[in-house]
Amino acid sequence: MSISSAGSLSRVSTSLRTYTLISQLQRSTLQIFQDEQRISSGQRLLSVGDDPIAAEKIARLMKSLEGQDQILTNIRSADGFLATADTAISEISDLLNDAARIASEQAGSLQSTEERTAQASVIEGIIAQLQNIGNRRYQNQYLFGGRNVDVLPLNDAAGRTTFAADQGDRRTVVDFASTLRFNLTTSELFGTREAVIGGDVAFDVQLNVDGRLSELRGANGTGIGLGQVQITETGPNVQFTVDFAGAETVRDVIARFNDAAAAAGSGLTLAINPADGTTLRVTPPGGSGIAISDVGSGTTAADLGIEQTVGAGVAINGLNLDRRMTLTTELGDLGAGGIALPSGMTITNGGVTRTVSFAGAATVQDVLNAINNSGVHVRARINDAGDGFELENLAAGTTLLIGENGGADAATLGLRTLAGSTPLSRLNNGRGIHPVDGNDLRITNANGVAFDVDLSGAVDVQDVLDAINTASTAAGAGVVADIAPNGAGLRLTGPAGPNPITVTSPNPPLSPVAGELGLDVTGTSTVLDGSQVGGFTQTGIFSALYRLRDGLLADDGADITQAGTLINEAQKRVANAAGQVGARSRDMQSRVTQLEDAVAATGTLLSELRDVDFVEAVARFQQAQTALQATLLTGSKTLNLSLLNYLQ
Amino acid sequence: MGLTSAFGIGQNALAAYQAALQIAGQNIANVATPGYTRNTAQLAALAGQSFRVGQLGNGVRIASITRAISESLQARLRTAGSDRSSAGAERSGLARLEGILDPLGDSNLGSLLSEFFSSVSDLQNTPESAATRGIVVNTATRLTQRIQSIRTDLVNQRHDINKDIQTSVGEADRLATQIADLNTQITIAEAGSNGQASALRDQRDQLLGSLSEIFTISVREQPNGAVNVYIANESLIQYGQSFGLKAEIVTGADNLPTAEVRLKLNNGLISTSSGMIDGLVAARDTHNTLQLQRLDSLATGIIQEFNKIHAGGQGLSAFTSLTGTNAVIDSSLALNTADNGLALLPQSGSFFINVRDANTGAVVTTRQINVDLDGIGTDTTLDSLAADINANVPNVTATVLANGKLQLTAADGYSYTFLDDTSGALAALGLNTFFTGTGSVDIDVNALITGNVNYLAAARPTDDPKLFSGDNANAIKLAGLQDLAVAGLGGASLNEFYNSSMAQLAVSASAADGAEQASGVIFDSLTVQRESISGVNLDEEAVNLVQFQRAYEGAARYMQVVDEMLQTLLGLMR
Repeated sequence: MSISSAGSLSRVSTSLRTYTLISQLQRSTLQIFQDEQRISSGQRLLSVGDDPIAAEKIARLMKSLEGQDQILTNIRSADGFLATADTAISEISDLLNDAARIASEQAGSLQSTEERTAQASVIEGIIAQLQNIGNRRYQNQYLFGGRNVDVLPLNDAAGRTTFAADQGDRRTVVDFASTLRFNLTTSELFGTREAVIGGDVAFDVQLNVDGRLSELRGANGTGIGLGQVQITETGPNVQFTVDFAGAETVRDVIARFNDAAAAAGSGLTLAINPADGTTLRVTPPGGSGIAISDVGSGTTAADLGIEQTVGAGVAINGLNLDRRMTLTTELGDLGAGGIALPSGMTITNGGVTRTVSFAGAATVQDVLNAINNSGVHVRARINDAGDGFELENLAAGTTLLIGENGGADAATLGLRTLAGSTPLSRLNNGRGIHPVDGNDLRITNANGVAFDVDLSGAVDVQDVLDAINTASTAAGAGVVADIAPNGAGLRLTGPAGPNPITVTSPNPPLSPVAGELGLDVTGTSTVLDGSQVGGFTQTGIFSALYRLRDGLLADDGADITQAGTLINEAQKRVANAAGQVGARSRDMQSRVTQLEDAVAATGTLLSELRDVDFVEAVARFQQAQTALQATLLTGSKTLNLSLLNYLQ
Repeated sequence: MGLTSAFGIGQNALAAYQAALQIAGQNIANVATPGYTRNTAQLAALAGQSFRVGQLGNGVRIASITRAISESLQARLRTAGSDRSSAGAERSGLARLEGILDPLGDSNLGSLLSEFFSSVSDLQNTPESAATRGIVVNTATRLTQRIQSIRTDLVNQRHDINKDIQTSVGEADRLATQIADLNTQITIAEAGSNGQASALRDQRDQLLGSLSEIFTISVREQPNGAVNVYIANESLIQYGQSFGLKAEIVTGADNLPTAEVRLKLNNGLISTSSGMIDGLVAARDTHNTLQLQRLDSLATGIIQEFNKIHAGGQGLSAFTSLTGTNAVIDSSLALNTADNGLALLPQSGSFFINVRDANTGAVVTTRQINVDLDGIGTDTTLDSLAADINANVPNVTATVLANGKLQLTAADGYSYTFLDDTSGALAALGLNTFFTGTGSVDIDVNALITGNVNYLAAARPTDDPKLFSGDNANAIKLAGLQDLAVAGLGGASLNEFYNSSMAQLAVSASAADGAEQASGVIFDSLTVQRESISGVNLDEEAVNLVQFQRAYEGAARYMQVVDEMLQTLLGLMR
């Protein structure tokens, strides 16, 4: 209580003294009570009103501390996962070293059949161990199973390892609004997707009014930024602005443009360009010109490919908006006029053949479902570029053949086993072809017209086809080379005649290429379908080990050597994977250290603001106690003093 | 001058000192009476008769009995009392608010919010774990229960403040009646005498002080001794009449009760700038209402923003039949029509429905459903949305129920999930949502999820619409929500908004604390001054007692001397 006016008082009444004493007692008692509370609770603040700035800081620091704790939990969990993966990869590396040693030892010609058979058993054991490691878990999650924790990543089907693992990322939050990936997929570790079939047809996906704008890469390849666009219809000089913010589909863009134009009295109209289906077109009424530009730093018009100025009567034909293929993309939007899949295709994997029908398929997802449900261990998906299909062989070491089912559906989808872009090194189960100096093929048509083909320098299948067709044209033989409908061999067609088309090796030199291209077979006079030398085998560790096993069992030194080379490549990949895991783990560890420092610093700051300083609090308590004692003492003295005591 | 008149001097002196002794006695008797104003006897010499040699006095008399009081100080004291009372009531209201919100406690709303988001963050580490999912549901339930209990406490505080206002107004009404009665008594008492009716005035001063603690009042004394009392320019007491006060409970647009103070006479609304009522009104209408509104905004933000993300994700189980938790009033109106039943208004956008094989969970087909709400052409209504689903999504039937909710049912052998809703329509309709309700009054965890934690949508497959138990993409988005700017909260994140609510409470509490202390200092200072002027000092009164006693003894002795002189004179006659 204040007695600030005490100095100006000229008179002290008994009630004033009582009032003052009671106030002082209350003040001292309250102070003691508050100090007692602070000391017993250890908290500096008894109420947020005691120090609002500190209270606000305490709340922020506590939140910060909780966030840091949570991120530490996330990182430790991810690091635990990585540590387990690191151990697994180390074991895989050891097993591969064993396999590589066996391949190296058995590659020579000195080993006996019995010894190779015995070593084949060792390789089978290694394969089994690798499967076990590939299916290892950290807590409930498969180390290499992606997001799928319910299905074994690696299985054994008919003596071959098959892959069912998800190839998606596992990520964890490591900072505000940022995540880090911490998993390795089976394809990254075992190299199963280093090569896939498909992607031979890149579709120029047509715009669809109901398609999302987020499917468009836009004219600049950076998507569509949605903002304001300034439009002028020159001639009548009508200006208007269109705000595309919040537009979701192509239809929204068109509706907003046309609505704003109509509202402004402009005759301009926006629509999908019917000439190509992949651009937008702004059409003026007769005689008007058009100027379209972005407002401020916006990029909408540029992204939509219509940021142009044209003269009177000329339409703006936009740039290709580069729509990506998605699961919901309609087959009618795959290229101008769309695609039709009336016949289906055949898939043969590991000797099992299935015919896939696309009857009723309307979307990309329908096509993928039809292929993926075929039951022959293949997985089709949209390629990373978003403009085509690709397909992987999920079974290790088996040969996959994709061909037509009487039509051209596989070619339409770009999924035939062989394509022009297929490297020749992939033929013959990875052995490739071996052109010699000079001519490699002598092709004789049904009428006996022969020509030689030199394949030196040919890299892919298209090079072979081009070389044959060029030589045929030069010789006037009329033979045309193409990929056979079976999807994995070459086909030669030619004019009818008395003899069948034949392919031989010029002698000399004696080139093995005719056989290696599968063309050393007998056809008819008009058609020669080569054997299926282009069968596709999954890349990666398991295929290499199966090849080694099969080579050992078959006592085939060449296959053993080839497998040894593949295993050496696999060793490099595994070393690389180990490096990646190690780097990620180090990154996590470094973040843990940084975060622990940050947590300690935050904790110190928090303690300074929140916790009571006991020395200060005890001193203040003592002070208040002394003040109370003084008040009690002086009060008892002064209240007892009265003149009445002295009056007798 | 004769001896007879000499007796008169003694007689007057005896009477005067007897009265003075009585006044001292009265002062001593009331030394501990609150609000008592000491009286002082003003002694004056009685005028005498003129003689040739000069004037001879007639003794002494009590010229007046004076109340030792400063009326201006009393007025200032009443104002200070009003201010102190107002600050005290406001601080007390804030203290209770602090108790309800417990910003420094270990289990306050902020902690529960953190705990909830922490569990969601844990979910991104182990999205496949039923236990982790259960923890998310538990922490969410604790959060919603706490929000609801805080709201209940805040509403109860409001009720209690209203009751306090009613009680205080009743007390003020009683005080006003008593003051009016005292006006009449004082007027009558003082009409027949020169002095003041001290006791009555003390009593009235006390009552005015009490009244000023409830309302800030202005007091104007009238020539007849009565006082007229005004509250904010409204006349409350005129002479012997009080116009009366009452408090009535009205319910506002926000359905919250408010006690209003009115004059009984003309039902005029009374607003006061100080006094306890002012403090109570500030505690209710400023602090309590603000915290209620902010709690509601926070709850709405949590519900809507969490649901918007959740509805675009996928759980471990697909739906075979699902009914939205939110209804529209008119299903033929655009979905973003205000006041049509939906608290969250969707915008132009789209979402996907993945139709699945019920046995294998494999996606059979995916369809994009567009929600067009740009005001151009025909906008999407609940009816058109259902029709669109029925036309384009095979094996899923959408029905607009009679109660305005949307129901989606899969055909036998099929199930479905949702994905990537950019329109907010699913969240608005309560499809695949985590929270239900619209604000702090009804926020709850969706019974669908409490019944089956598999419906907690931790996954958001972007490349492959499979239901992978280990997909944590949506959990990451959900966990990140706590720090994302929310438009409905003025661009603040959920955490920032909560912290700013507590910061506001802290600043208000600190300001009210300061105001209470300052007004207390002023009141104490004025009280000290009043007690200095009006309070009884026993020592003074003891001195007065001695002085008056001696004077009385002197007068009596004087009477004895005069008597002896008279006896002497009479003895001459014997």
